[in-house]
Amino acid sequence: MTKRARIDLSFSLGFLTPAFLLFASFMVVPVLVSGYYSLTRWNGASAPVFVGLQNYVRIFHSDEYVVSLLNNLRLILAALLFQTTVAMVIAYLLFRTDRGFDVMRTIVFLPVVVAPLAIGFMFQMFFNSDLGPINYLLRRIGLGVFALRWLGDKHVAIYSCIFAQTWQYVGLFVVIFLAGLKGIPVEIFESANIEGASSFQTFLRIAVPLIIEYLSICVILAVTGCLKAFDQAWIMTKGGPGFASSYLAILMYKKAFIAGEFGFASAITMTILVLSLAFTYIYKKYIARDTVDY
Amino acid sequence: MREKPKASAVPRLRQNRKPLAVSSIAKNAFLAVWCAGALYPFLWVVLSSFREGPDIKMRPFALPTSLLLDGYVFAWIRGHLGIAFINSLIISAAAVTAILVVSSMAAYVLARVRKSILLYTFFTMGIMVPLHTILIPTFVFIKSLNLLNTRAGAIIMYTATGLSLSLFILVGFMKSIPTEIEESASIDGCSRSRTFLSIILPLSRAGIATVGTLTFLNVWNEYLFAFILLTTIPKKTIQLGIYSLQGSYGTNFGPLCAALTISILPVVAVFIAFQRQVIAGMTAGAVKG
Repeated sequence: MTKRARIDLSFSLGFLTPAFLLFASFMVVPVLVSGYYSLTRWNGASAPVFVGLQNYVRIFHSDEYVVSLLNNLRLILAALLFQTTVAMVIAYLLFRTDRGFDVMRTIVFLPVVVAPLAIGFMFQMFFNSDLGPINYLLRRIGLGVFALRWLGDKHVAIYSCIFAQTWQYVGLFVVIFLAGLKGIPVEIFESANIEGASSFQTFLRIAVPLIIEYLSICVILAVTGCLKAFDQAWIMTKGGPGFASSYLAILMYKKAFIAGEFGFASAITMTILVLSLAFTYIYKKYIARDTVDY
Repeated sequence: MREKPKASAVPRLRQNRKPLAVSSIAKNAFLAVWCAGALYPFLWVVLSSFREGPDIKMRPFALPTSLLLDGYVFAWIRGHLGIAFINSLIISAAAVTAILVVSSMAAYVLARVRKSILLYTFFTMGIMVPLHTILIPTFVFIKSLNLLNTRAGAIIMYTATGLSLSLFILVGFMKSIPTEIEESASIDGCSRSRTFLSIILPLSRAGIATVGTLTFLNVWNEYLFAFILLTTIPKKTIQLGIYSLQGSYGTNFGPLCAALTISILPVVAVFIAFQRQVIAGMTAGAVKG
């Protein structure tokens, strides 16, 4: 080893050590520990008792788990159906706008940077069935029959939560699609225009197919993001009534820090981890197209 | 066969960015409605923060008749939001500093000195891990270190969980810096740490700004980890402050709106000042996928 290489090695070790120690002890080890906890029965105080896969068996027989998982899937579906399509349309319209582009992009992205907890509180007020502005408006314009108990009705609550979260993150997908649109060579749009393609045709036949890889990014973000959903619904309904609007993360929190079932709660978090990694892996390997040819 | 296009259909080539700014009523109407839908909820909160609770409930869409600051005073003092605001400032500033120091050092090694794919994958793997997975172990670790209810515990946690994305952004950025400057510095006998401090760091300003703003937003907005790590009033962050304000004073919309305005204001200020960095940072993790 030359002197230079030796110096580089000790330099590298010195510069990497803080990051390595922090990351290993507060990210990697906790993930492994969480895996271990999921195989135990543990109330957080006494020593954990190893029970094998019992918690996972319990998960499959748990109504709360199934309802929560279904709610996560509903949220994912809403994100895929509404968030991506609306974002794609807005991105395209913004892309073809000169005047006010910067201002509008700022406004569209604004909800994304606000704390999900604040969004939760805002919609908790808006959806308040007696005192909230939404029902006030519905009653004033004679649509009082639609003034539902947005957060108190077990059939409606989850959709109110889904609405709040979907509304918040449209802007994120808009800027991702905008990045995609800016990468398309301008000549393609020009020739489409000269050929007499309508705005709508250009959108459908040119813009959408050419930003399909950005759609992949949004799909992965939507799925992994929705599996982590917590804040908005926690504030708006606490997962209630009952567990009608609960997500996996809410169920996990309640099981761990309210019921004191840390083992069972850890098993729930492991399913979130596995679902999200498995989806990303399968999607990237089998579904997503990597490149686009112009 | 191609007809000569009518004058109005000829694309007007202004900038090469948007060659065909077609203006149509439908398009502008759609965008206007969407912008209103994105902005009005916040506007409603700000307007309501200057009004009294019962008044908001009676006439939710009325404008404030005077600049009533009761809600702010109530939230800031009785709701302990003042303390929470300062705690959040301290924790965010410390986490941003710690992340920038730790991750720029590591990123320099991974991008320039020892390009280990294995280590790079190890560090950036964390982007894929939903943070809920480590909630319970983090609680146990921080508790066993006697750091529950300390700002230090929260700062360590935020630094560790933010490392993956910061490294990902900074390594990518540092790799794009041309190597010539460094090489000549090294021929002139410049040491690695000297090169890092006086060449790489100044040239990575944009990447550092991205990581800094992103970390600030994430830490300022974070709720779940703070909720289990910080439980006493003197240590609570701004998000926890709003949560307990609402818990103790029920559906009093006035102070709640004031508290929300106070908590959102710094975020909006940072967003508007560093818009490019915010968008770059938020979509960087997405591209990694």
